[in-house]
Amino acid sequence: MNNVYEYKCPCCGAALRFDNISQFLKCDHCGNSFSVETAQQFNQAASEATQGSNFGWDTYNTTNSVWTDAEAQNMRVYVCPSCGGEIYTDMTTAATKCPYCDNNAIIMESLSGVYKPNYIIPFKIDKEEAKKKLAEFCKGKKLLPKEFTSKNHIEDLTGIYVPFWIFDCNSNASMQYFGENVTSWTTYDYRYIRTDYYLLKRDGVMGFYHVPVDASKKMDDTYMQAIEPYDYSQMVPFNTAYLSGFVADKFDVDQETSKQQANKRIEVSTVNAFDRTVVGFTNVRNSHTGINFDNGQVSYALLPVWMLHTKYEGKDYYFAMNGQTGKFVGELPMSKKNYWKFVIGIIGIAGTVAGLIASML
Amino acid sequence: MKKRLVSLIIVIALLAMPVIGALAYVADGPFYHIDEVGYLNDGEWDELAAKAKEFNSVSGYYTGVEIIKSLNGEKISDYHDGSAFVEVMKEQGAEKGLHVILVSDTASVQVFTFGEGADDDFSDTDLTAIAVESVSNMGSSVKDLIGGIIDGSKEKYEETHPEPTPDIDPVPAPSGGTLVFDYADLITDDEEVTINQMLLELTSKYGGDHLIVTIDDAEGKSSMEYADDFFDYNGYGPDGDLLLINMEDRSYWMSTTGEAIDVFTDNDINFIGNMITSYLSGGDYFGAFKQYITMCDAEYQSYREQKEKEENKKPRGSATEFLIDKAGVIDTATKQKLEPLLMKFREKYKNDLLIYIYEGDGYSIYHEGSEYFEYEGYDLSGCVLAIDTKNNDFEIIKQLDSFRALDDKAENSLRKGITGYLKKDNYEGAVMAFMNAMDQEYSSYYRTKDNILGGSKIKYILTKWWRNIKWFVVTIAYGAVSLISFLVTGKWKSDLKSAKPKYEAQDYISGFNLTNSQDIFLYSHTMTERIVHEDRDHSSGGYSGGGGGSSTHVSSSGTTHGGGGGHF
Repeated sequence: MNNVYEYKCPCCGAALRFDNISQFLKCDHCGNSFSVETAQQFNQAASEATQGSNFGWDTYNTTNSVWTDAEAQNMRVYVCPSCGGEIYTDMTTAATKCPYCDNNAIIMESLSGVYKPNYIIPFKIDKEEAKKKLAEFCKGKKLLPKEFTSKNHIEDLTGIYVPFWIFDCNSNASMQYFGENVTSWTTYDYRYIRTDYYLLKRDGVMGFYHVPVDASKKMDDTYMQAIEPYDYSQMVPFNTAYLSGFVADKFDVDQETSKQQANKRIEVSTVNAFDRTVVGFTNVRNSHTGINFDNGQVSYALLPVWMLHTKYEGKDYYFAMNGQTGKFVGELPMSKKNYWKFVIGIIGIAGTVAGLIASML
Repeated sequence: MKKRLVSLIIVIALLAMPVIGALAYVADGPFYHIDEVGYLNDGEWDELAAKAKEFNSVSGYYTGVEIIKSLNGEKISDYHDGSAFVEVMKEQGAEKGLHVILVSDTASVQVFTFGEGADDDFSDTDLTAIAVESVSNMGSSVKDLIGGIIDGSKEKYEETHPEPTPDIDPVPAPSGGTLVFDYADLITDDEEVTINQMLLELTSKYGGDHLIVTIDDAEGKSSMEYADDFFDYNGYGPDGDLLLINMEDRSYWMSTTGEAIDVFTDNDINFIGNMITSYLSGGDYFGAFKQYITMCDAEYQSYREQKEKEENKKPRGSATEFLIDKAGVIDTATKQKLEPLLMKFREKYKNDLLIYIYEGDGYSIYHEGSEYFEYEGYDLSGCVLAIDTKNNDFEIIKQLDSFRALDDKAENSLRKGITGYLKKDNYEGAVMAFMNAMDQEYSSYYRTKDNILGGSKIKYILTKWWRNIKWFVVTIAYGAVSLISFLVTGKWKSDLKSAKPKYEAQDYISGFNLTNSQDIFLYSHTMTERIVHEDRDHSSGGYSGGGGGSSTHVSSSGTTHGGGGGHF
């Protein structure tokens, strides 16, 4: 007797029975039959699908990243008593203002609690270029108040090395999907709708190189993501000499918090890439996602950012520019007067014209 | 005039017969005779008259015998056609008859028939056979010759018209004036008398036979068959109706015959059936019969009225008066002024305007106006201004062309104008306003119509179409422009802010290696739906449609019936 129940039916989940006449596995519950191979593959996939995602990272080792005495002596730390911002720079640079709140009274302190970065990308773009970029950004903005450009005065323009956690890893994914192909045809009396069900398995590995996550609480995450990406070919091992003329920010977001952000971004990109490999089906439903990171490495890098700060009608407006590529982002004030002038103007003119045309016809 | 001619030249021994001039005809019941020659004496004529009466009682035929000296060269069939003698017989009530002509000088006899249906009773060969037989048996007596023809005709008639032999158990013959046959004993004797009286009234009002029959046992027939046979085999007809209540299967059937087929449409029968079913179901048979008779009465009355109207309908365009003032609110001078204007309208547009002023009497003003227009000889197309002075109401009734000429907008403004005049009892003003508006609308309608005929039909249709959808299109376009303006300014607004978060790490992918890609077929499932095809054929049962009246069928006796029934 061959009534040995081993496998579950892919259709309804009931136990399958081997039918020794047809040499197929039959489901007594829903009436489908499957080849032994199909049932094996399905049941194996089902057992694999119980394994979830695992994000394995090495940890940035702080003990290896302390400053040498020579370096420490060459460094200064400033603390803003107004907003609590902390920046550091080398001895040759005199920071006079808090880059975050424009406070002039900043206090110099000795270097402590600051870790030595692994890498740095030096500034490529100077102050004047940043001013030009702002002017360009203002161009062609119909809703921008005219006074903003005419009376334009940049309150503050500071080049800051922003701390970033940089993540590298291989993302191993094991994905399963249910695919449906629907075909239909008709005879004179009947319409047939046939649905073929498939189990789709996709396994693979994706490499991710230097995914940056902003490690400074003072810096807006959205702005920092918006000025990505950086060209890592110009990234060099850290040297205090690069700090000359610029200030650097201390990291105050720990790497564990940043990992969450990196995981999310890497996972989304991995899933997107695998989803795109599933083609040719009427309907596809993801049934299992298992992602494992290996060779996960975390480094600490300083990346160059120009921060522009300006005030208009008592409100602060911030802009950020990628100090390497010149990518410029920010938010300009809107003239509500202009906005309604356009909306009402267009509607009014259109209405008048429509009325005239209609009454003439 | 129908005639059947047997030309038979016979040799008769008519020698030495005295010639006496006798030009006047002699009538004796259904027997008429003229004897120019004086072959027969009075006693012989009386014998023939007795035969003719017998023939008449069987067939309803009159018999006329003409003995003439000579045809004077005229063809005998022409002589029959132009016979004043036949005309006299017809005047005296002969619906059909036998015309026997004996010509003395040619010694010949010819037999003709006349009247409705005589062709069907006697064919050419029939008449020939009768004549030949009579001649061969005549001996030398003219009396026997004529008597032979009359007897032969009678025999022939009896041969072709056998007495109908009923194929059902004979139902007790109706006693005089009885129209209710309550075999199932559903109503009391007193009620029976009442119902019978009501049915007799129907007969006295509309003629025909109106019966109500109730039975317990249909003798194996359907209600329809039983009702039809009861009517046919008991000597009723040719017109009439019969309501059968069959308690065997609790059904009823209304059978109609002759004129009644036209009186009761299928709808009428259904309606009557529905009305009486509630009484029948509740066991109130007396109530059902009263209701039935009342409804029949109403149907007959409206049928007769309508028929009378149709018969008296004046031909289209024969009316010469367009201002009908039954209420007497328009003086003669005004009427004389308005009539020519209305006549002019007819000449100009081939459409009639009718001003119908009357004092309301219950019918709707629309009914009154349109009936008058329909039956009093006005054109098919035109417009009626009907004014009811009693109820202070008026109606504009459009017929054909005026539907297109006077659109709703124009009609509303015309209504307002007329209302204004009528409030001040200014009938002349109202009529003038009506005429002027109609003239204006008709003239613009015909201009447009001419344009269409002039070839710019497509342009006309497009213009009309555009006029209908113009504001809709403009509103949609305006809405679209407004929406676009919001979208554009919205885009400008979002341009001011360029910092957008990133949720993926697309820029940092350094490599992608797909190590395993398997598409494993599991199973398939097929659904089946039945396609329903619209049924295009609708059969209408076994009845053939009867124009105007109800659908009909033919009963076992060969009579055509209408009718309908149901269960209760």
